[in-house]
Amino acid sequence: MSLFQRAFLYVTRKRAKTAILFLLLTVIATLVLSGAAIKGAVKTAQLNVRQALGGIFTMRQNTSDSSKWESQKVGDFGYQSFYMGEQLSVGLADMIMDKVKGIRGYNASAISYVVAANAQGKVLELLESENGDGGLGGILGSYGDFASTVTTFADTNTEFDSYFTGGYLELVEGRHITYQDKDKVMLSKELAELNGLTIGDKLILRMSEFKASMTGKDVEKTRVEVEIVGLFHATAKSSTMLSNWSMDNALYTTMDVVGQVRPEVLKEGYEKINFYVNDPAKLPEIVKQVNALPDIDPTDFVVDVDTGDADAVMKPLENMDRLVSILVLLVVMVGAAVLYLVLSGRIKERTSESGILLSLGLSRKNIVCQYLAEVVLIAVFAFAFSIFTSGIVARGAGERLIDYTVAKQEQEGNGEGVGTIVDGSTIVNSSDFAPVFERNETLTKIEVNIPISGIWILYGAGTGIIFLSVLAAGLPVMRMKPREILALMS
Amino acid sequence: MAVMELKDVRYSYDGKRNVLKKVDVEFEEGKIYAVVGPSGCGKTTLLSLLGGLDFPIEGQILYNGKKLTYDALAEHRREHIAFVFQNFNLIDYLTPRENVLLTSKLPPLPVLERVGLTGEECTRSVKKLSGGQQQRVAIARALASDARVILADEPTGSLDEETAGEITSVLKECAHKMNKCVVVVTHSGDLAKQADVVLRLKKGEIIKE
Repeated sequence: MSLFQRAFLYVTRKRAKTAILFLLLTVIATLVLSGAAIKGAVKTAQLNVRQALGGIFTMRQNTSDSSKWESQKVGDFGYQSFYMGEQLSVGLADMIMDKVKGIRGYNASAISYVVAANAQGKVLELLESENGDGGLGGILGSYGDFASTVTTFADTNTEFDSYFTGGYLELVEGRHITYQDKDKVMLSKELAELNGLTIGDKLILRMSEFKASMTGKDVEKTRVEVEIVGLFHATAKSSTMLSNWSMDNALYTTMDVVGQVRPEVLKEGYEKINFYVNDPAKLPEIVKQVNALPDIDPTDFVVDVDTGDADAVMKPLENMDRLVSILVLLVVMVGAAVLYLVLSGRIKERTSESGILLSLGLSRKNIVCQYLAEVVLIAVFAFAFSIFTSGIVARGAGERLIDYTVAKQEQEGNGEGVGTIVDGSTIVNSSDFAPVFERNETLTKIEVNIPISGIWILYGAGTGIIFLSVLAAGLPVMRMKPREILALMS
Repeated sequence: MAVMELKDVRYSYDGKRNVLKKVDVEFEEGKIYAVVGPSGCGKTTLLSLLGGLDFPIEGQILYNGKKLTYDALAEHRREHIAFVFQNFNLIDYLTPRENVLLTSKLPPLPVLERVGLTGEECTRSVKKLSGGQQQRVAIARALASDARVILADEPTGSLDEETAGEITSVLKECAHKMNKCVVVVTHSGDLAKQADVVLRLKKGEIIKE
């Protein structure tokens, strides 16, 4: 009878012992596989965060030189200062893209406020938000049709807009706006539904009467008809000074449209250009190359890298990664120790059986191999079963762990000032009136899947640990002297 | 011709007190040998030397006329020797048939039937067999290994008188009908009386009766 037949008969007939070992191996394997799955998910999330929030550098106008500011009369209202330095342009962005390798795209943007009406000229009904309308907002909102204005972004490529890349907004219908577009607009799906609008419908954008009266403009001359090409949805809550300026009411269009409605924006140009690099790790080198370009005069432009967004979102993920690594290590160590103790006990219980087999002429190696085959046979099924159990455990534990680490991070805060970041809550645009998003759940949300590689590692490492445990536990059999066998038998 | 032979064998556990002194004895096939003597006289030591579980300090052990070397002991145990013990020493999660199959070089069922087990008993768990039936399985396992020498250590020690008599008959059959050399260490006078040769061990020496 071969050792495999003996192992099979033992496993199938000693059902209680088999069940105990099966449970033990399943628990260990489930914990290890769950840990590996959570770690894998955290790594993926970290990579996504790095792609979404890391690897960005921003070019702005250097407004610190007062000689580049010009005060101009604005209607009958008074004087307003305009920055008259070198403008951020698409040409400049394209030149940087040409000369510096490793940049995958950019978006130049400016923010303004316009009144939007449907094709029949009826001003859009706006969504109410929970915040805003208090303090200065309340005062501003009471001026004429100021409460009908909506936040309007003039973007060259909304796909690379920081709200979209950061996952705060997602395109749910239609397409993004690109630089080639003329008279196109994107709005939130909720706002579109409220006003019965769909892709392809027209909107009329114009300057607010209040602003026109202040600047002496004719509202009629600021009107521009735009076509809806895309609908977006906000994945996180945002807050603004005025309810009507919330992200749910915001519009995305191009500079030509904003320039028609608000000519002073065209005069100052884009506020910033966000560049996205292919590999976040190469960001410092790329920024260095951009700063070294002869066309980039530091008195005109400043290039800065703000990793705050990425750092704030990454921290809970890093904490979780560390926590899971420690837990997995603990499980492996404790699991191996428990396994050794259990197997040791079992083999000690079977000393008499070992003696019988030795007296029948079977080699020590053959006997220990039978014990190994028994455990491996049970482990094959326990590990396979653990793929299902770890899927359930990993999903539950992963979500709880991320909630715990995020909550801990929120309690600790990061000690930075107003207008920066508290765990992913950030002002993405430079304008003081730009919406502020709360922490983006989608960025720290982890999707736990049991990786195929994890299963292979479990089988490989698990078999290794079992092999060592059985070998260590089987040492008394390996050391048994023939003379002791007879003593044992008699 | 003797299948096993001990020539001038001396054995000591501590190198000072000899358990066996200059033992000379031959064992032939077709005979049953009873080794008797008081406790501690060296009966089990003699059995362990014959079974290749230990090696003498002096003298030679021959199997089939060839001297056994220390390195060949494992092979000797595996190929030439079969043990039968007082407490049967069966593997409890195997059936009688499977216990015999552990070492079997012969088909197990005829061997089991020959020692008096029915077909149904052969497939039952050994834990559900009586003591006598378990000892029959142990003897069948020894026979199925096709070893020429069967060493039995108190084979009837834990059995009632009637069953002990039945087991003695089976052992005699092994020797006389199956031409095995059966060496039995026993305290049982009844079993010793049934033996062809009685070897009495006294103060480390063998007195043939």
